[in-house]
Amino acid sequence: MKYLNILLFVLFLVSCSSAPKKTTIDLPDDFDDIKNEDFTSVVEVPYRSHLDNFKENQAITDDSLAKESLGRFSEKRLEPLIESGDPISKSLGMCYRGETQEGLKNLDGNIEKYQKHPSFWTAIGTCYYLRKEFRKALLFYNKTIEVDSNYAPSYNNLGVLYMRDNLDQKALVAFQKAAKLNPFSLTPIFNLAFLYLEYGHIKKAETYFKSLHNQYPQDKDVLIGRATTYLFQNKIESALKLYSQLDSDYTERPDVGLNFAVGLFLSGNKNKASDIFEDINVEKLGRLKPYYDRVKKLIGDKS
Amino acid sequence: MNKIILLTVFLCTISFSSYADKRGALLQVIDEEIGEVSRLSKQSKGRNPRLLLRLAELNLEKARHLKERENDKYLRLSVSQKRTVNRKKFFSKSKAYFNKAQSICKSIIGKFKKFSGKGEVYYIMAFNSKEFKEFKKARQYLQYSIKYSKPKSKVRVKSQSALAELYFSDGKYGLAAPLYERALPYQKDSTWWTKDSYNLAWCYYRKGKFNRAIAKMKEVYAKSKSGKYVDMSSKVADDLAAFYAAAGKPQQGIKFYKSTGGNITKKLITLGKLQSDKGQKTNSQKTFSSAKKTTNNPEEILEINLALLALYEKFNDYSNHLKVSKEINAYHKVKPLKNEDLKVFKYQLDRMSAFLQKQVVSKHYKNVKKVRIRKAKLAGEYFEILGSITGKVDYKKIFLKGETHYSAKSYGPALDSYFKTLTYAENAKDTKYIKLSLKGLLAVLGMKGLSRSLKNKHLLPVYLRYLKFDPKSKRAESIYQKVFKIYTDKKDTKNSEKVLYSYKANFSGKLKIQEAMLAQIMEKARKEKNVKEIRKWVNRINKGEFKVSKKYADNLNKLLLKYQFSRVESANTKGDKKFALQEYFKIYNNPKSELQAKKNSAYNMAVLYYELGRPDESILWQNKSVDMMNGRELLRFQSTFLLMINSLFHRQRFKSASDLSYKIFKKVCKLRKSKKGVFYKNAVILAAANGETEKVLAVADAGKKCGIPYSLIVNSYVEILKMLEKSKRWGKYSEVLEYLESSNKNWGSIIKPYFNLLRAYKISGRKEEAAQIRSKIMRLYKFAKRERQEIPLEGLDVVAHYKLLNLEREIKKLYAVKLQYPEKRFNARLKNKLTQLDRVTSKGLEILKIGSGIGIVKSYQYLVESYQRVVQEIRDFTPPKKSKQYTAGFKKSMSSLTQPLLKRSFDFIKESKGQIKKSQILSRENYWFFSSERLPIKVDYSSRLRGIIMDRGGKR
Repeated sequence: MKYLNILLFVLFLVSCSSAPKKTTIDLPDDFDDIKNEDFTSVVEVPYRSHLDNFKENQAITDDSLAKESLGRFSEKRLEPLIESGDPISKSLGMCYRGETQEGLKNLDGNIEKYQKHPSFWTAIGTCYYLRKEFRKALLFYNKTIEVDSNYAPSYNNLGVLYMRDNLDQKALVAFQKAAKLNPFSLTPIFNLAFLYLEYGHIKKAETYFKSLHNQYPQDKDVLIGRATTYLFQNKIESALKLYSQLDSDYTERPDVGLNFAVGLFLSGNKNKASDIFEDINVEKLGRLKPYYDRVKKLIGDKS
Repeated sequence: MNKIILLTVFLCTISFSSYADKRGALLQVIDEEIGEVSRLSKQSKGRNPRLLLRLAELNLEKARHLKERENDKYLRLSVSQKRTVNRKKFFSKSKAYFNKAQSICKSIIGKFKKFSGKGEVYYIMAFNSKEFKEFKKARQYLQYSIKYSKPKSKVRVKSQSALAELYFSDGKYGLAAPLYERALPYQKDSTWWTKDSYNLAWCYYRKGKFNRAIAKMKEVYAKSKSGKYVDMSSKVADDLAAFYAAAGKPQQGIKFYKSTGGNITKKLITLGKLQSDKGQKTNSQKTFSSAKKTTNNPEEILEINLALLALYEKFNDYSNHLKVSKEINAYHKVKPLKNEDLKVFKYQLDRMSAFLQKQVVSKHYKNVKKVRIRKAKLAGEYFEILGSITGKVDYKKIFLKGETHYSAKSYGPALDSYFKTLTYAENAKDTKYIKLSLKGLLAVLGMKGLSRSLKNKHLLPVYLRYLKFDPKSKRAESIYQKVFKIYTDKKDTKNSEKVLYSYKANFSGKLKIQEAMLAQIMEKARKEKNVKEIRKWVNRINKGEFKVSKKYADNLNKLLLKYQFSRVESANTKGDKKFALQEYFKIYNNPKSELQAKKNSAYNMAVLYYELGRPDESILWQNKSVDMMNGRELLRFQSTFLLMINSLFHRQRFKSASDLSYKIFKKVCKLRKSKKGVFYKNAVILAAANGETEKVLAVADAGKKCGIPYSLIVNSYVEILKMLEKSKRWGKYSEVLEYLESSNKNWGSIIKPYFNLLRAYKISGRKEEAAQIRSKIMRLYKFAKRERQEIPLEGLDVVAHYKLLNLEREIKKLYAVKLQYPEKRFNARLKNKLTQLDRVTSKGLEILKIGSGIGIVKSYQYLVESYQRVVQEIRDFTPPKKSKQYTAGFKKSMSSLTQPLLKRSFDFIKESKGQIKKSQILSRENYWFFSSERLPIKVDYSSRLRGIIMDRGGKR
């Protein structure tokens, strides 16, 4: 028995020792897939600022920001972008559609060509923003500034991040800088308009909404904003003129419906005011709950 | 009569058998005669000098016999007994009788001045004096004896003879000779005639009268043969040689010896020696030469030769001396000399060799090279002989030969001798002579006069033998280096290495020399581009087999690397990066590659993959290279690593980028000139972006210990706070806050974070802690404000919030005061209200100073509301149950109070609007100021759009 055990032990040892031991790293033994040409720098696509827009969205009229931002795009509207030949547009389309992984990968694959494009880094930042990885987004928006310190979107997007952190005062400064860097860009003034409106700087808000509305009368958000400024200034008729262009998809919203109802009430159209008030989606009141109660008190809830 | 008695007594005693018995009997007879003569002398009342003389003679006789007996007895004593015995006492008996005899003689001389027998008396006295070893007295007495004795008398003759002997013994041959001449004619019957004549012959010889000396000697010789006299023939035969030699008549001497027969050779030898003594070199030489011809006996020839040696030595005839020495040596080899002869021979050899050696080194021959060399050669031959005479080679003599040649600057022979000495000494394990011979060899080989061919032939062997013998001495140290040089000049690497190893073993502490030797070996390898060889040595150095300076080790490693990489780098530079990549890969994977090569390869692969735009492979190789490198190495490449890490960030490899940054940071942490701050920042930012809270904590901790600027540490902790807040890790959040609070420079910026913590405490019901934080917040604010620290807006909003709460409390108190009549009460309450309004105003204005936009707007709102409410209260109040007049008057007076209050409220409105517009304050309370007054309802708005991302640059 003893000898058997010894024999078994030896056999065991032998079998263990005969197992191949991996001493080298796990890399391909040959480098067939590598060529010397691979080392040569990829030809960069030069950045042309005047082409830095969504030319695919030229025809869109109901979104004042369509050429600059996909932030209010529906999924359907994103498809042409994804199918476009422009990798940045494509990647952004993918990210806005929720395919951020793919979008980021696509961007990564084009880094050498587009690394001098500020919009490239902005796109990466936006994809991370959409993934709610806001710190990473911040890093890439800062990278954009590094590439082009006068690139308006960087500051606009920093402003958006500040707003996320409830640092609205800082966001204001960022939007203002973006607007200053590119006075003809619309997104910063759009953001400014709403920020001013949020905090009662009516006149300023009105100016921006007017500019936007004049260019894009079909942009409902702009219309709503402008209408609200009229209302705050007791320009009821002007407000109602705009509010009446909205369908129920919009008037159900508390931020629209309440003011529309007030306007209608103050103009004497109490019934319609009541109707509008009734249609408001109370589940989405949020911060406007006290206002809702005030309006309710004003116009008297039939229900 | 007396004589008859004497004779009778004598005849009676003669029958005894033994000598002692005979002596005893004789003494008895003498005693009896002494008795008798004494008696007779007494009878003559001492007046008979003859009796007294006889008495003296008898006493003298007795004394002599007693002395003989005492001598016999003394001779039979042992050595130790002789040492202890009292000689005076031992010989006292005989001495007594000598004294007695002497005293009797003195009395005779004193008493009997005209005694005819004075001569005899003095003779006895002289004899006694001789016994007492009073030779001067003895001589004197003998002279008196001669004077007072009759001519030709026995006494006179005996006295002359005795005196002559005394003079002869004293070497006063001139005094001795005439005495002998006078005495001898009257001693012809004496058996001692030959002896005395022998002495006389010697006197003549000493006085230079050689012919007379020879004649007398011949006479003695002839008479000796007669049998009547003492046989002095052999002595005469020996001494005549000198006489003939002195007389300058060697041939006659030879003739004499031939005529007398016996051993002629011996006689000639004697003659020759005597001639030599006389300084007659040629004669002596001739005699010895003749002596040689007379014999075939090797021992006699040896004797002659030894005598010749002495002769030649005396006259500095080196060549003949050497010749004879060689003859003797040849004989000695066949039949070894006896000890005595050998001693003599050796003495001669030693003497001559030493003498010649001395001459060689003497300054007298300094400038006569040939003579010096010749003498050295001669000395050498002597040493050669000396070296061999014991049967065993005496290498010490050979060494001396070498020394002699060296002194004579005869380097070739010196070399030979030293070599021989060395060989013999090595065999005999004689370290002293090994050392001496080696020293000698080295000295010779160092001389300019030595031919190059000899030097080349012998230098290395001698060095090697020296090292074998004494590898650790100071001299050996220098020899090692010389041997090494010889081998390296010959390009004999194998032996050079052996020398190096041997040197290292014996001089392990002499690192600089070892390094220099190594450097030479390596230089050869380098010139030959022998990478294998270089690698071999680098391995040895790296293993610690050889200790070299860090600088040199680094250079070697660099050299090796250089060779290893030169091919690869050339390819890289020329653009064949794929090849370079493959080669680096091979070098890395080669188990024989040194660590440095692997590091270098890994690093280069990381760079190549970075260039190739393959971040994942680059990450792998960056990690490998960073793991292998130490801080200093990373320092050299830190810029490149920063570039690559930056690229990884661009390529969205956050974790890898932050991991690498952290790794490198930790390694370069303690090094000056490192970009550790950048690595630190990268590690923090990238880890934070990746949501790796623990890593950020670890990095921040490491940064604290690493001398990272405090401001960077603070920034990282601010990031950490945000991350902890998000993950609601309030415990750790609190710790971080405490750390930040430890520096009061941070107090302004931690107000908001503390507020966050306070809220967390409140939510979890920890009211006490929350209250403490509230107090802390106000304290922090107070300090920061006093120190004019920059307080973030969020912090100011927090402070404003709490101050507003206080204001609200004051406002509550304001509103709580109800105006009531009676008048007194009304006035008091009004006063109270107005006082409270003041309080509200001041609190409100305080809040304006904080600088919080929200605080400003709200504060203004409260102030306006407060003022307007007070105004309204006052206006609305009507004193109850009072007349209209009273009421009108009351109203009027109240109006004067309310007007300014209202105006103040309008001012507040104006101020607030101005502030809001100017500072672009974003406060929800803005609407309170800006919405139209004509609207019956305070309008509100809240956008669902909290910022739209801008994806493109837009129209320009």
